[in-house]
Amino acid sequence: MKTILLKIGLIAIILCSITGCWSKVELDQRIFVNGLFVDVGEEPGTVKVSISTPLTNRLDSDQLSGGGGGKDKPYSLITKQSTSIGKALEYIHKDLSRQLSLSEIKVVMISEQYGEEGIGDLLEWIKREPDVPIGAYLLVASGKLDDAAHLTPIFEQLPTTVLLSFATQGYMLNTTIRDCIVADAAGLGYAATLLQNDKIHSAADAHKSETWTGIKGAALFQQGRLKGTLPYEEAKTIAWAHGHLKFPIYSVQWDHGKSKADLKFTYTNGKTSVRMTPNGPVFTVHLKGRASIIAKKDASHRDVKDISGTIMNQMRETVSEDFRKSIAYSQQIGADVLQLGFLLEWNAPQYWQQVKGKWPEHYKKDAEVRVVTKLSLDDYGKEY
Amino acid sequence: MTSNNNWRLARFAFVYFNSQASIFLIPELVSTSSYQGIAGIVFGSLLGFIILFYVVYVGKLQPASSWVTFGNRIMGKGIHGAFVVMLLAWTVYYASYDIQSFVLFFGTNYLKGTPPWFIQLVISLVILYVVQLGARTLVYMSEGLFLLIFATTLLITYFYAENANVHMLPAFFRYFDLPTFFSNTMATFSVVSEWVVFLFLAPEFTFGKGTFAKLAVASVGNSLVLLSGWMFTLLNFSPHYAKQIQYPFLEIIRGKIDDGLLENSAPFLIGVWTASMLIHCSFLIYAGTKCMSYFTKGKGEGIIVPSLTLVSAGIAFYYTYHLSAYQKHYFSIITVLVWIFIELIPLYYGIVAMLRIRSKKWWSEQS
Amino acid sequence: MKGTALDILKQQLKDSPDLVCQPFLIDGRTCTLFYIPSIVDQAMLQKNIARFLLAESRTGSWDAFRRNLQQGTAFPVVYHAISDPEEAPVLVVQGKAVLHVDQTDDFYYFDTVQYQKRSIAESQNELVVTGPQEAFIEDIQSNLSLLRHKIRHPKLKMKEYTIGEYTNTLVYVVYIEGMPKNEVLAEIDSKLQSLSIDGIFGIGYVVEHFKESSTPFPIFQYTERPDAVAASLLEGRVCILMDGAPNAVIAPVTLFSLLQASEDYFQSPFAASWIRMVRFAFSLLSILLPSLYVAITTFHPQVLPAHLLITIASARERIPFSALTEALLMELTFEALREAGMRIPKPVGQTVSIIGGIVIGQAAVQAGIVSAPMVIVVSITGVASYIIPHLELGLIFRMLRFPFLILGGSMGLIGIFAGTFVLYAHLVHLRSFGAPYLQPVAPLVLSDWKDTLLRLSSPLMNKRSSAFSRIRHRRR
Repeated sequence: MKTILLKIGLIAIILCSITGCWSKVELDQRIFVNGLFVDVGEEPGTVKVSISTPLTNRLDSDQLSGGGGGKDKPYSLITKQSTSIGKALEYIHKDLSRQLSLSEIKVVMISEQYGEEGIGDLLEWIKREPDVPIGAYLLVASGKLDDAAHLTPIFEQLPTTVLLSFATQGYMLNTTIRDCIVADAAGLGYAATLLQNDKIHSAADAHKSETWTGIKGAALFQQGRLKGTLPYEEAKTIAWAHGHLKFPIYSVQWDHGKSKADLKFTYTNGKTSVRMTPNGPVFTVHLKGRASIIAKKDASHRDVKDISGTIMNQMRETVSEDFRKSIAYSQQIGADVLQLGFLLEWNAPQYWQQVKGKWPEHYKKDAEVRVVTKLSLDDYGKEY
Repeated sequence: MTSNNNWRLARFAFVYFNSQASIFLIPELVSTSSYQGIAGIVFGSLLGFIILFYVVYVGKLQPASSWVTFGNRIMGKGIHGAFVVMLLAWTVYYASYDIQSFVLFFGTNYLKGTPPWFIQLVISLVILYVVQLGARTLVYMSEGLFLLIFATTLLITYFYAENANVHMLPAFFRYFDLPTFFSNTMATFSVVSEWVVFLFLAPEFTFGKGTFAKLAVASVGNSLVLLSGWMFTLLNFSPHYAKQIQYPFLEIIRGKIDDGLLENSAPFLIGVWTASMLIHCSFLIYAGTKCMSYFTKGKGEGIIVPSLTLVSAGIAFYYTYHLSAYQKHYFSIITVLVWIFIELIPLYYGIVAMLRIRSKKWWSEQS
Repeated sequence: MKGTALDILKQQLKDSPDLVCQPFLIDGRTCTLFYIPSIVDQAMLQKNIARFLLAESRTGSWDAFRRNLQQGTAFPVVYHAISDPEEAPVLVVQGKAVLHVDQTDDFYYFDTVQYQKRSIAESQNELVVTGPQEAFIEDIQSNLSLLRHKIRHPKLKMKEYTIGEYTNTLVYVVYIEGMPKNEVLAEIDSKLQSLSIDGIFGIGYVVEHFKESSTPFPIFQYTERPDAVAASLLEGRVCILMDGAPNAVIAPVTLFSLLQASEDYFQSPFAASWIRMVRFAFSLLSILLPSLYVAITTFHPQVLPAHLLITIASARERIPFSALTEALLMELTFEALREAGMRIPKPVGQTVSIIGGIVIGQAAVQAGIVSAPMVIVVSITGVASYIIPHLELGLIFRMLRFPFLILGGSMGLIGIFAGTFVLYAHLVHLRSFGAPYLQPVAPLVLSDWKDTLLRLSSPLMNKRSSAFSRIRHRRR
């Protein structure tokens, strides 16, 4: 009796499943969104959402191996506006011949303007939508977001690959949506890579100009709003403090600018710590690094081993100065980008209970942030 | 052979509790615990040992027969009958929770558009088939799964640890307040003390010398899994965000977008966890079947198993269409108290047995 | 009733033109020798039986001859009296020479059986590089001699059964006394005793009568190698040999013993362990790979790394079928190719395999009927299913691919999980003569792991498996 029931059950399932496979969507009926671009809409209270997707019907296996040649571009960008991100996506979706698949989003890019108005809605949407990976990287575009979205991938096949590399290669920050959500939930701030657009002449056709996007610096956020931006050299130290900076190159000068050297850091790391004093918390940011000298011009033609001390001192000065400037700026705008509030929460709970309601104010006025650099030389390059 | 048997039971215990410990309890704990869950988890697990002790004690009273059959001699027919009915209701209800949580989990994340009743149907058929194979097969199956679950637990720990912020660790020792500690302890206790169903392992598997020790090892293992899961969830997301997350493990996996096969293997880890959940659910229905056959004097098992599975699936079906009722019931304090009451059953029997049984001849005198 | 039994014999064996009735006149009385020349050892018969009868016919006395005959000393070879004269015709057709004494119902028979047989051949299906190359043949005596050559201990026991109403086939159950579990021997014995069928031509006929529960999985292991049989006997298992079949059957089995090959024991432990793990992984793939591919591409594309996903998506662009249909088409085509390949005559085989590969594989992809990743998946699955040493198990795995494919294609990963769980439960519950089918994984017996996924070196494997043997102490 049991086995007969089971067999009937199994046949029933098979019949059911053949009649209607509810979640089944063939691969060639999907569009995989790689990049999401969010900007303010033309009307107040609206958002403009663009999606960047690869076009699998143009990506034949021959093309894939040969690199993105051919006249047809294997990617597309679709834009729509509406009152919310979900609605805008619906408007995009209704005009498409395939199903949108959001699980491959790698990059979320916003405009400075949208950031100033607050990205809380965006983060809330990502938190709830189960498909969107919270590990996607956040990037900010200065200038027109449209231009950045239309960048021409010269070394890659898809534009989102280029954008992804800005986050992963380590020349600036690798802030993910998750970092933003965690910081927001705790009432703290974060920094994201800031990009800028340019027009360059196409290598293939001198009369054509293409959009080129590059790193400009960092955008600083506090509680979901963009408060300010940092230029590249100063933003580097913020990335360094986060522990995510690769191979930065610094130029130092001495002898009143007559001598100079270039150093390339092979290893960088950053750490933050806090110490409570009667006057309040004292935060220390430790910046560690090992460098090798890649160029040197000494006015007195001394050997490197004789002037390495001078070089390192200048190095420490330069890095510390850059860091002090960036921290001072972040305090001025009240953006706790290094999430120093967490250190208080973990190490001095009673003090944190008192200040957490008004942390941006306290950060602006009371927090003392010191920098300690621990830099050393790995090697002098190929020459003595 | 006995020591082999004990380790077998320990492995079964580890697999049985694994799904609850690693996936279900953690969101509940995280939503209330802030930074101070360690004390609650440790204390709740220690309290669980008391229940384990009494379960093994009651099981050892008559190793060759099942608790349902000899329990009436300890408590009296009426009270024993009442407890059996309560246990029956509890196992069926708990199984429906399992089914519904699984349907929610899988359906929302991977199978949008598929009606929940379909997934429930599939799960019910699987459970139906497995339950009628018997306790011995269930325990053997869990043995095979043990190694797999052990390996995937290590893998999951690796995923958790990748982006964990270790600077948060001092916070775990700086926060403490009694109400949170109490609620954490109760939540942990209600999940790790589910030993009452182990009374249904007899007569295929007997409790003997050393059973308590080996089962305690399994319990410690589960508590460690629970502790590390809770800790890493917090280290990854901080309590402020973590308490909003329904499925922390999925968020960790979704936080990875590197192009590696390992990082994208979340559904398979979920498959292993699903197997543990199915064992849990099947064993609950098996226990319910044994309770029911106490009343039918062992007859009609062919009908009992499908009907109990149907009832469980029916409750799960109801909850599918009354989602807020499900959430309310699942997280309510009444549920926790009912759970604890049922899980303390071995305690009642153990204490009464300790008081009443004065000599070894007591059993023959009773019958 | 003089002559009646003789009449019965002649009556039963009439219309057998190859029957020889050779009379010998001894002291005025006739003794007739009945035999069928094509199935007796003619040389031995002439030398040890006919010659002596001839000698007696010239010089012997009837009484002395009769006395010698009854005492068993009349011939230099062993002979037996036939108790029931009605057995005589049966013995004649079984290749024995039967001697009838005149004017009595006395029959005697000589063991002169000699069938046409081939010489000891090399193993065709279970090849090893190092290690013995011989294999069983159809003649039971040769097979038993091969076994006795391997195990030279008085505890090697053989029980003889005669099965089949019309074939009267000899079946031997071989074991080492004291090692197998009692229930195994008892069950085999009772089944063979009660077996009543017309005839058996392969050991499979016998084996099918042993299946208690309805399961497609083999509960016996086939082998054609005497060293495999000998090793199994030493593990405490029981072997069944049949006259007329070049395979032996070993019981009980576990799934892991079916996944072992003789080669494993003749190579170094590291190589053998590595190969075993590869074999195990590919056995799993042979069931699950097509269904996983279909489930992932239709329901859960986020599992695939982004680049791979784009590659597969672009490959699927022009395909008119759904992934499930495509998979089913390719799998069925592969099955047809495989089946046809078994019957193709050797000269044509090469050509047809080229056609199969090029036409179906490449042309179908270029025409846009199937996608290249699907061809890869199906080929890997096909290769994986042949990695399984045991033919029947490989067939079952190939068969199971299809339900899993349908489950995966219609329900996604949950279908595959449910199917895998049910299959796992079924295998754990299955018993082969009392041995749990998935031992030592489920139930977990760590000491037996030395010879399951890994093959540790000989000095380390010092206990017999508890699944098979009663005795577990040191065996080496």
